[in-house]
Amino acid sequence: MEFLNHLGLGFEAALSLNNLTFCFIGVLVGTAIGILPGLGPLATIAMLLPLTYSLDPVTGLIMISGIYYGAQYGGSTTAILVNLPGESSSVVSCLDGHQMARNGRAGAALAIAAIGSFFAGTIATMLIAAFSPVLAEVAFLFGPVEYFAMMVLGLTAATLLAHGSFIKGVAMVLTGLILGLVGADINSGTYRFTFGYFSLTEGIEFVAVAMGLFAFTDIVTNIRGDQARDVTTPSLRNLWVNGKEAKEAALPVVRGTAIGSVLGLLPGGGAMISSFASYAIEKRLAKRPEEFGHGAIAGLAGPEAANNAGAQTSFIPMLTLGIPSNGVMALMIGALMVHNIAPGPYVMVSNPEVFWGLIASMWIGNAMLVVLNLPLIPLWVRLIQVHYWILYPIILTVCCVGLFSIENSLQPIYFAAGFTLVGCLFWRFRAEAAPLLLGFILGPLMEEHFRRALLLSNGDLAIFYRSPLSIVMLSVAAVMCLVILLPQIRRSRSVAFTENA
Amino acid sequence: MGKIIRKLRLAAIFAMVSAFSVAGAFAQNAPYPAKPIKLIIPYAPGGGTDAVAAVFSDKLARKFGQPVVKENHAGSNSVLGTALLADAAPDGHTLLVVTGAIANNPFLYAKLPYKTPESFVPVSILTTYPFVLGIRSGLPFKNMQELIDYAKANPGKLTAGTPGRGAGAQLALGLLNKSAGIQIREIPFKGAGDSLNNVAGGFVDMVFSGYETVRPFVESGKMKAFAHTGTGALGNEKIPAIADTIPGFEYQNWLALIAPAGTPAAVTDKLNGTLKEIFAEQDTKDRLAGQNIMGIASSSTEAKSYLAKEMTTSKAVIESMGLKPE
Repeated sequence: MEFLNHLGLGFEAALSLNNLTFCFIGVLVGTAIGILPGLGPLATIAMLLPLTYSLDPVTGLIMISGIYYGAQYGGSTTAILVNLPGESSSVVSCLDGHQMARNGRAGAALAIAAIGSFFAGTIATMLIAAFSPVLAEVAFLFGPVEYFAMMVLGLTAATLLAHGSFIKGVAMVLTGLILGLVGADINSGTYRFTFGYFSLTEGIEFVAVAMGLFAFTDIVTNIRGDQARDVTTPSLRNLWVNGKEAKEAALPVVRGTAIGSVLGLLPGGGAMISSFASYAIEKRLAKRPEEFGHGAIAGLAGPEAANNAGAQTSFIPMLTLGIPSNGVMALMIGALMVHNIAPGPYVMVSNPEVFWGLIASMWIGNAMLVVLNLPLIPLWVRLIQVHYWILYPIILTVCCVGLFSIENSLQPIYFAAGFTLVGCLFWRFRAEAAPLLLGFILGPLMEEHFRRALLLSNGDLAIFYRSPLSIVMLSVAAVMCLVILLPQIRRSRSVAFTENA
Repeated sequence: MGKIIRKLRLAAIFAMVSAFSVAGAFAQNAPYPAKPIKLIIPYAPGGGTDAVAAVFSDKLARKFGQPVVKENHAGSNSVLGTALLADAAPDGHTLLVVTGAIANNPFLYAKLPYKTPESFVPVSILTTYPFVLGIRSGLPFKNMQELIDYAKANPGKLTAGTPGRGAGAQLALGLLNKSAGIQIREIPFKGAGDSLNNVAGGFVDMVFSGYETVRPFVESGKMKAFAHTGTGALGNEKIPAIADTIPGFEYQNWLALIAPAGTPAAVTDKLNGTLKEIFAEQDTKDRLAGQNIMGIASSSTEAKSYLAKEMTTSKAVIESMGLKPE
């Protein structure tokens, strides 16, 4: 069992005191962030990126991923207690989770969410460990041609599955591609769009873009009004799930895990879509669907397991193929590239301790969350009541220090400020910024591989259809575009979305 | 309002300048080093330069009784980190580890934010080491002559990955093409890691890279350590030198420690003497030998003439490759 050896290596890395500490910090911060409505994991990770620059790559990634799945947990807490989704993926948990809380079962609802998530996290971690090496064998089949095709596919899929308007998604990806052009051209060394600034020769600082578009924009858009919140304080005596509830939750958790694991793999998928899908399925399978929306346990347990499983398995395409399936994964790729680790099939071969350490830490982090989540609920409840006027100046200051520390210069702060303005415009236009970030990160890589492929073929475009892998991926991308452009299918797509929301 | 702010700013600048000059006056009498030394590495963490710097920076800190703080400032083939050094105070508290790239950059970048070599005082050449030519395992060549014959018969057919513009490996390829009269096509990558992976995957034919970076691929059978750019046989595998086939062929990559121009001779002398002590110690030698690198620790004068000589060579090779400053 080779993969057990690998997991052993991973646990060895993840269980070092240093990594355990950062894993703990990650899940703690993640939970806190998840609990606060408005601030998402994307924003938080963008803020903390400069910090990871000085850490070992594996330590940095462990912390980032801790934030990511910690936020999934924290989001559910707010959803259940306050009826506000702390996270987009916990929108569904509001429906029945909060109703359970109002029926006096807040403790049980929180426990089901935590245990369901832990189960899903364990299964998903095992899936990642088992399937990643299979993909690693494929690693050496990927050259410039195949990488290019894969990135075309990834960008197409991300645009397609992003919520909201398709045209806006395309526009955002293209804007990202253009921003990614800034800097020295890899083949000739010619500067593009640097306007004489030497610091731009390496491109626009990606942390500044991410912080501006996500962290700062979130703050600006949230600051408009401090909502009064009706907090249901759970009684901790009622924390334990009774036998009937456990029985009702078991199957939905298993089904949710399966749904989340599969959907998490898809680009643009991940936690949110998984939880919606699971809710829809549980409702259809239920003996008494009329209970849904009035505290049905299946309506909480299934989606909670699904969003956690989806959050976990969305690491697979990122770690093994270098394709980010959502904004957080795009940031992770950025964090890897800072450490000179090119994300893709080679990570497993070239940096096994990073790869397996991260996977082992996911499971450890999930276990920490269960332990953390239940006793700390009273504390989290108080956190929800902190006013934005205290919270936001602190966050802004910390962010600016982080930005300054990247190059010891003010320039990234100016850039972040500029991108905040842009981010607010996007928000007004209801255009999602995540595809822009994907374009910004994948664009330069795509260009690099495209031009390298043409260099190898002496400029002959035929090289792209001589590789069977490339043909398959490019045709899938083409079919996806066709599908979205057929008006009939587009109509049914928007119907599907309104039904869910 | 604007005027007041401007006046305030002037006052602040004046105050700062006078504070600095007072501090400067003290510094001249103070023993070196008076505070922690900042060691700039102009590459991303974890590279070969880092590994060599780690060997001597700990020992330097212990001997000086002051911390030596390593800072990585990667970008533009070491230009960004080098520019930081050129702007630093010339008191020996900011130092830089450079590679051969510093001799190449003046012929590749039209607008460098510093002058080579006028903006610097070379303190010491630290090491020199040859590149290994790794070729993909599918290639049938048994020796360098066969490779050259094939390349002559099929111009432009063979490809070589390089870690990017101005890197030593790019010049080594240029030198091979020039001295063998062949045309191996360059495929630029971002960094050595990526170029190695593409040779291992069989997409690119060969790559010049440090011995340590090629070795894992050789051991897994994905690459052959075909030749090297130094003299004699290299390592346990007894890799033959390219010079055995093309007499006189040599390309050594090198690392040097440099300080900003105007650093007092007393400071560079002290640094130089301490480095010589460190490089004479057995465990320094062992650690460098483990990386197949030879420690040198030259004098400041030697370093100066080495840099000048390297710049002449680089200029000739870069011109023969048809590269122009951008």
